[in-house]
Amino acid sequence: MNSQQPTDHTPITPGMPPWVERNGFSDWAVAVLWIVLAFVLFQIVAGFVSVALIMIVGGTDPGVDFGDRLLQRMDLLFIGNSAGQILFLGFATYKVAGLHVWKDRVKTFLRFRTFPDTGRITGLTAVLFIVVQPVIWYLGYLNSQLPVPDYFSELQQSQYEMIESFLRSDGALLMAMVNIAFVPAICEEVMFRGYVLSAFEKNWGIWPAIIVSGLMFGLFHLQLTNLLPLASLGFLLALVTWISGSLVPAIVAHFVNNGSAVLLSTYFPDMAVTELTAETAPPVWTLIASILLTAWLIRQLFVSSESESEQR
Amino acid sequence: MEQTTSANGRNTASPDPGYWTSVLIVSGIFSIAGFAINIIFGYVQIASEPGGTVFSPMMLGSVVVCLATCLGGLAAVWHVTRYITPRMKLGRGALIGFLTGAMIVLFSTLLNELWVIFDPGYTERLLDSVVENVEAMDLPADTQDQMIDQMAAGVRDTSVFQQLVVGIPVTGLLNLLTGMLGVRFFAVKEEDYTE
Repeated sequence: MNSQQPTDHTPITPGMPPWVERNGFSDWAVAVLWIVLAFVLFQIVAGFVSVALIMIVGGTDPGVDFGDRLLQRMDLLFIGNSAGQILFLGFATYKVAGLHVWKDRVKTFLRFRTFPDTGRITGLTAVLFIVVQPVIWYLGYLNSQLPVPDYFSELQQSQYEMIESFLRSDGALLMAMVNIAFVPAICEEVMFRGYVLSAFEKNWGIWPAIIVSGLMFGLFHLQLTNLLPLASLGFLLALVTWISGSLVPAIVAHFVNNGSAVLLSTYFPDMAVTELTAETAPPVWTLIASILLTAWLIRQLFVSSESESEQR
Repeated sequence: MEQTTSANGRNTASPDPGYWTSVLIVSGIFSIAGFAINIIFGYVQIASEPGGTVFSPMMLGSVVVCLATCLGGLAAVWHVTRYITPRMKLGRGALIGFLTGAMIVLFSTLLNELWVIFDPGYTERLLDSVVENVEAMDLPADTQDQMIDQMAAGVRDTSVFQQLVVGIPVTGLLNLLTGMLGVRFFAVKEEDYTE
């Protein structure tokens, strides 16, 4: 694995140990705290920026309720959301990572690096995230059979409806690609596969880190009705990041996943809004094919990475 | 013995902190005190005439208890530094704070459940009193209905499990912060410590 080589966190530079170690914290505990704090700060800033933009730019009917005015300008809500993500899941997470390792090790810790095989692995991962979609659909269906408080179902439904209505408006595609696909692909990957995965790995080793960081990724979206598919995607992204030793394949795969959802909702809205029921499920053969192809592609990723390591 | 590394890189051995005693003592005191204040203000609320004020006795009691509960981590760290070891790192203070907050929620939930056995009609009488107070407020009927529905749902539909799932992380995190403050206020820095 590429990740087995330079994820050594021992210091090159002698001197004070990193802040986390110096103050007797566990890396995983600081990571969990940062997930909670980053989520809260991200929501506050997203809300504040959106409201400020609506008050500055206007463009809504002042006679209507402010909540409805917000919904009229989904584009500004998206900009606020992206601002929160860039600020806290991106930049602030980079700074927080500096608490765990020596300053000259932050980029390595976050896996901001590439190897000769990164391009090949990125390509395989992008295909993997298209191939795995039927499995994700069935996991979503399985999740929908589990009891979840009505509040969460209603929240998720209203989120979907808002996004769908936005995607039907003129010129929404570019805005959606930037705010739903591009920004989260980078910021969420820096947060979860860059920072959280590495922090968990320092204490627990790689497999618990992959599983728990995937679960955290699922929970972070506050979509209990979608927890299984989201956590599975998080697990896959973490696995790919570990295999490749780089954040690039996960960023590209995340973009492919979210971007394809945006394109599907834009060009085939009826398919996108279809309710998850046994009747609307894709044929079972697609599920079997998806499982087999996914397993084969993951194996290819392992083989590819191992042969590259041997050559080095 | 716990192995620690001091800021100057030397390995030092500190005694086993045994912080659980402090966590249990402080969380026990805070949960009993908080429960008692809530119950007292609850009965004051039941006995009072609906005045239509936003700040009812029950709400006052809840605010006092909520603020006081946040200080549990600070108190537990003070107890550890006073009676067990004066040396403590920020991370240990955070852990003690979190555990104290979690135990306060656990004990308080337990005490509340026990009180319902002692006075089964307490929750309903309290809810009726709060509803009467809301009805006496100078608010539009729709807003009143919404507030009443939310309060009733909050009281009747919140299970013990939900109280713990929401309460432990929130109270734990608040006490984690005050636990870290406690280290800053009460713990002795490694370089200042002499046996």
